[in-house]
Amino acid sequence: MATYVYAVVTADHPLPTSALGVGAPAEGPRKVAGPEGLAAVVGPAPEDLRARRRDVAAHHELLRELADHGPALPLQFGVVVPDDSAVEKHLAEHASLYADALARTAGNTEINVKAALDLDAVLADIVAADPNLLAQRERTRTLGGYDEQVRLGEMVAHAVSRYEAEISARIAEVLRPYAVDVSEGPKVQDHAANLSFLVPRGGVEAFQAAVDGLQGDIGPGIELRSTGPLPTYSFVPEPVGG
Amino acid sequence: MGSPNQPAVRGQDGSRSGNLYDVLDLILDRGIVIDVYVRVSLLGLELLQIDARIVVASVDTYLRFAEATNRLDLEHTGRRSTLPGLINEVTEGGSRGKAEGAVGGAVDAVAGKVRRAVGAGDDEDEEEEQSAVRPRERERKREPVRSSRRRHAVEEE
Repeated sequence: MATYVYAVVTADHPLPTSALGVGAPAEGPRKVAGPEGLAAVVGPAPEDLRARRRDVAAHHELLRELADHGPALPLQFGVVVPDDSAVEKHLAEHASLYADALARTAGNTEINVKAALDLDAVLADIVAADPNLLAQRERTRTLGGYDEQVRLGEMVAHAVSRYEAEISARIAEVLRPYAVDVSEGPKVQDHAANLSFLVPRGGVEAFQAAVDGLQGDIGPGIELRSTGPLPTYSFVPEPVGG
Repeated sequence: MGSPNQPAVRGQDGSRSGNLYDVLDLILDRGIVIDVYVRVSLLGLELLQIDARIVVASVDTYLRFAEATNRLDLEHTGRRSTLPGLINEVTEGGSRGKAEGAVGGAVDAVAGKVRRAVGAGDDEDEEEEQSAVRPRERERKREPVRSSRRRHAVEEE
């Protein structure tokens, strides 16, 4: 049976007892030992694994429970390898990479901050602040015409992107002092920023307070949502080859 | 949206997967990937992860952006600055109402294109798309056009 891989941990890391992982019924995770005191937390891969809500949540829950008991490097949802020996081989080839990453994330947790953007609330300000945009708006109104309209729309689209980048940079700047590291997440629809911070477990409250303070400063149209502590999805190494 | 005094909404530690939607991008996009092995074929999911920038950079989208911009009532906007921290003026109600329709329309167009791009008509794909995780309380009536890199979907159940 194929092997589903959840995380890379140290060999002495306790296995989850309540979160059993993907599949129905889930058989529960086990460890595959590697060199340098490393191990992978794995389980049987269900035959018909798909991105069901139930299985995505089960993957996440298992990683959360692992993270509660020490550093654990999460795998992305849906990584399946042919068998346990493939896991052993992979750990052997990337042992020092994983050992370093475990040391780096030890004692830290991930907090994700997303900034939802209400474009209606800020579009007028974005347009009014850009002389080129204002000029093109006037030109469009005076000349009319298809090409001018398209040009205006394109300029607005770029201005909105720049605005989002400013918001994201500001959030990173303000919150970075409360974190060990920061990582930019994938672009999320309707959001100006998606940032993950690696935060010392003892510093989570101070970080959250900083998020609340920033929400007060950042103005209308932006709603910050922070989620965490989370498994350190955004602070894992990228094994190349093998 | 975000009033200045409103505290940041926080994922509840106790509710476990209650905030799954907010971390879906991390679970599906971050984390270690073991390259050489087959990542499980997440039926439908790969199709939905199309690069939506192609869609955004369309003439239709630009035209709707332009329309929304033309209808803005800039006379009543007050002082302007793009510095995020300084934007504290609220756009006058009148211009908001007018801009709404245009921007909302742009989104409908984008959604339609995404549907076509992933092959609407294929039952599997439609099933996946309809069950995209999207808690109702976060659903917005108007969805400004955004260069969303990816759309994530998971099946309910």
